[in-house]
Amino acid sequence: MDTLADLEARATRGGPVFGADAHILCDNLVRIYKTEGAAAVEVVALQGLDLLIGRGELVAVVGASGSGKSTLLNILSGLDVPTAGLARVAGTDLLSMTPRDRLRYRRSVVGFVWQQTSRNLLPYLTARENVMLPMRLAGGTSWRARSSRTDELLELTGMAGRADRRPGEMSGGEQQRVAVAVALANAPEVVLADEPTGELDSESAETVFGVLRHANRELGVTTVVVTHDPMVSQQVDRTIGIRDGRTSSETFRRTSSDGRVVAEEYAVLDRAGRLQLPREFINALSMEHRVRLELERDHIGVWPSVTGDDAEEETHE
Amino acid sequence: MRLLGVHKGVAALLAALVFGAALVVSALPRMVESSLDAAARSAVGAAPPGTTALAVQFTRQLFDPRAMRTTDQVAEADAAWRALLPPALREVADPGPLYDFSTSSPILIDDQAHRYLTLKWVSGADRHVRYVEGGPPGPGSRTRVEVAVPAVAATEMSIKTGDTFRIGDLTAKVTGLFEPVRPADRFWALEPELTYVIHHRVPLATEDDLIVTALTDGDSLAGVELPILFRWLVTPAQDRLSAGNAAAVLAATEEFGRRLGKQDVEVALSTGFDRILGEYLDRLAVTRALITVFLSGLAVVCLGTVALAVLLFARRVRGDLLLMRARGASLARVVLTCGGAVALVAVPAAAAGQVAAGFVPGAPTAVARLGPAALAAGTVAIACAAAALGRSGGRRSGNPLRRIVLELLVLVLAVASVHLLRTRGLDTGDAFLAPAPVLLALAVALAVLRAGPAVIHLAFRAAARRSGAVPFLGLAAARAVPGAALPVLTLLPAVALAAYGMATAGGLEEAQRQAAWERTGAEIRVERAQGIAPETLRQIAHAPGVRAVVPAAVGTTVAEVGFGGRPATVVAVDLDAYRRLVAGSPLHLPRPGTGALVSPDLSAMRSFEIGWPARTTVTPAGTVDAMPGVAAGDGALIVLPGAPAQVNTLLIAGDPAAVRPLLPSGAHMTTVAGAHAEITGAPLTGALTAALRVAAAALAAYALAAVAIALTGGAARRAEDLGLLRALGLTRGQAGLVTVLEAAPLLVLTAVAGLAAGLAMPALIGIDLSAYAGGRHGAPAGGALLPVLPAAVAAALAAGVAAVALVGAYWGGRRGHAG
Repeated sequence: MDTLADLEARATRGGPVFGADAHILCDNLVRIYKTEGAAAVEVVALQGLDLLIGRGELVAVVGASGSGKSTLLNILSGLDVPTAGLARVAGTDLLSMTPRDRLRYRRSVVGFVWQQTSRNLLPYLTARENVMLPMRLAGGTSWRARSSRTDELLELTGMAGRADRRPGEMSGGEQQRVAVAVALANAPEVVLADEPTGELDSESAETVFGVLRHANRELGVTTVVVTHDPMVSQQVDRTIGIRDGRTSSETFRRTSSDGRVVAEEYAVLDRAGRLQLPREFINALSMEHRVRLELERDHIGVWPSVTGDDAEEETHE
Repeated sequence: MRLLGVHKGVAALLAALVFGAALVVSALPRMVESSLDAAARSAVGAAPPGTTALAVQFTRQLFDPRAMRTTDQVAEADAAWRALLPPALREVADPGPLYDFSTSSPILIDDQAHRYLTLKWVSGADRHVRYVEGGPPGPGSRTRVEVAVPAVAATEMSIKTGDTFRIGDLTAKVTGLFEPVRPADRFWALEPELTYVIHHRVPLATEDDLIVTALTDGDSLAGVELPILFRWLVTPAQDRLSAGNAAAVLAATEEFGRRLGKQDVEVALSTGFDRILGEYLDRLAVTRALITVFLSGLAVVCLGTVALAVLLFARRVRGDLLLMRARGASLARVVLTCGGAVALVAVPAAAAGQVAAGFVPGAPTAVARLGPAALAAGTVAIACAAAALGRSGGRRSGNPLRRIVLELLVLVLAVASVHLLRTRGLDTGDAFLAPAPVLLALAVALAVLRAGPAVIHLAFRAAARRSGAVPFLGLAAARAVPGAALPVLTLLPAVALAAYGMATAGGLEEAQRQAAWERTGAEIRVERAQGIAPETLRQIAHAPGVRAVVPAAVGTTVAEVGFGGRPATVVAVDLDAYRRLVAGSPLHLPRPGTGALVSPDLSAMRSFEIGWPARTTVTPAGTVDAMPGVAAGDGALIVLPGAPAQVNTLLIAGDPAAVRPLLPSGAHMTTVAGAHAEITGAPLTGALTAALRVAAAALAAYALAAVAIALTGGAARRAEDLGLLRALGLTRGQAGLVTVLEAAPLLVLTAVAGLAAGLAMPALIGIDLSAYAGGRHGAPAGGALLPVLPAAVAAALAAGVAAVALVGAYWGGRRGHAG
């Protein structure tokens, strides 16, 4: 039996910490909302989500409506606070931030692009003024520096020719490209985009995503894109699936030696050993309530429970 | 109903606004009207009955063979004159007859004792007198009359029952002494000389003449061969006079005079009634004009604010109405739904406002009766128009040419009406001129709407060059604020008229204070015709509570210039001491010169002689127009430097209560406080000031509501912007400041322009309020420099409205920033 001293020693000895070198880390993240009104209902948007994203990665997050994607993005952008768990972005612990930290975090650590083009830009400012705005809010830079940075970003996003137009005078795709420039204005370490191409036609969507990918490669900024768009999810190195408030799957893409893109989908095994089986797998074998597992030499077998009697017996055991 | 249920907040706001507007529009005219009636009664009631009574007079000269030889003939004449009364005058005339006749001048009865007797007969006198000794005078003959004298006169002049006096050929025997049954009766106010001995001193005399008026038998006096003055009195019953009939009564009075002039007998109408009514009607015209100005302003502002609330409501329900349209509802149905919902709120609210206004005493005028209904109808009309025009959703850009034409029209109307007002005056009762101030304010509002964006753009350009994010964002938002026209068109007239109201009310008070000081010339003024002894002066100067005393001599003399000389009022006073005494008061005294100061008509003289206070030669050293407390009338004014040898006036700074016990008999004391109370005591003045204040407060409240609604209207858009800015790292405090800066430029511009317009209005429009300032002409609205205090109060009001609105904007901005 371990003595208390043994336990302490083990605790202080430490092992490799989970996600120690990740740029974005979520560990067992929980977010519970309470609806307003007399009959307040608790909604669990995230129920123990784990996520690791490395520096400079371009990751897509996919999932059905209500799966918790946007909640995750709001937490990562510092606009929402998780109920429990751990969330760290670029070394900043999002749960223990003071209001001042949160402000600094929003101003210089993350950039954000929303789905609705109108939400990304102030309608009464030109593209250039919109891009300059985050730098103004962060302060500390000269007008000249801001101006040249703005020019750079507009050049990068291909919007240099539209610099003096207001959002109302630009197409949706152009607005989103300016929105990307706004998100990059303060040279953030992470750019978060919530369905940035959701309101665009496929051509514009491709251009906007191209800008995001370009920025990711050119500037090395870690980029997380929440999307429904298969075009987007198929063009990133890693796609993370979220189901019922948990990461359920990850798809890796690599280019094979013959130039073909090979996608491999994995189910996510969390730190507690939990695993979400794809719904179609479950349905195909009519699995419900419980399954039988068998450890083999190089894999674990999962079988549907055989009969009701067996279940009965097992319950009595 | 359901629509209202969903948008309870806006519906409640709309109800409150309509209720308030209906209450003010209905109560204010009532409040003023009741005070106008009270003022009519008080104008007549406060004047001595002898002044207000219409006296038909006829003097029968010696040996006039014509009528009036018996009291019956006099009574017949009374009926004849009364038959000539025009209907409007007959309605307000007291039906009780009162006529009298007396010897036209007092008759000397005792040369040694300077005693005089007036013989008089008054109709119905026996009902009003009680004989304390003896009995009433009986019939006499052509050479002998019986008389009864007032008991007080008998004591003072040592007259006893049974005494006889020789009056030429006539013998008068005293048969009794009487006193009034009820001294407070109106009868005694009309026949005051039957209650006391008149003291009268002729110039250069050393003793007073004593005149007693005795009652005698009517037929005997009528038969006596002496010049007799006959008087028939028609007394107006003050409770029958009102603001409504005053003008007609005045016209009837003048008509009565004309009708009397056409009679065979040479009768004349003597009365102060027409002058009193005329003065009252002048005040009435100014009051009504001012109230109309403020009511029209209030109507514009209330309707503007209500329109803002209706538009807010229309914006909230636009989604529902669009859905109705999409589901196949006709336009009429959509309009009816929106209009009906607003009517469900506005009509009961307006009715409640009118009912509540019913508790305010006063007769309802047409405005009070129809205003709330018109307001409710206007509100519903705006809702219907908003539903009909707003269904397309997008903002319609107006035709710029039409806008320019409309602006020019307002400008031309404003300039023309102000010009007409300046030339014709507001108190001419021309209803079309009353909205001139409102038009002026609207023109300024249009100018602000034109110039505002340019100013804001300049400020934005400056902010864009600087690194601060908050001014940049705030001004950028201000530059783009949509739909600012209605708030500016509502707020500016509100601020302008509130400032005008405050300035007028404040200016009026200032002028009244000035007038009170000019009437008295010092905090306390003591006058005694017989002179004030040095001992009394010393006593008063050393009395506790008296700070300073300046002795003076004020009297009349003749400046010996030209053939006949020129009547002049002389004031002998130490001007330096006098100036020190009234330092800090609104009085402006002439600077002391090296010699005497004279009025301009005498200033051309090298020197001239005067006989009072001592024979002296006056060498003019400067000019003086007026001296406070001294009425020079048409005559010249001479101010002699240095303290006078003979003092008859004391100018005192201190406590009147300390001075009063030290006054010698025959001294007359007036105080600034007393004069001020007399000026402000008129019911109309108080009511006008109160009405102006109520109107200013209501305007300020509605201005605030307009700003609040305008800010609320943009809340959804603002919340969206703030959501983005929050993600970009905008703090809560910064969000508040951005909202403030978004609202501030136009708000401040509007408030400043409104304030300037309001403060300029008294000078521009120039309503003569002298009737309210104790007859002091030229103040305060006659284009004189604006008094500082009212301007400051009005500025504080405008600043208060702006500040409250901006603080509201700040907190709104913070709330819009969710964390």
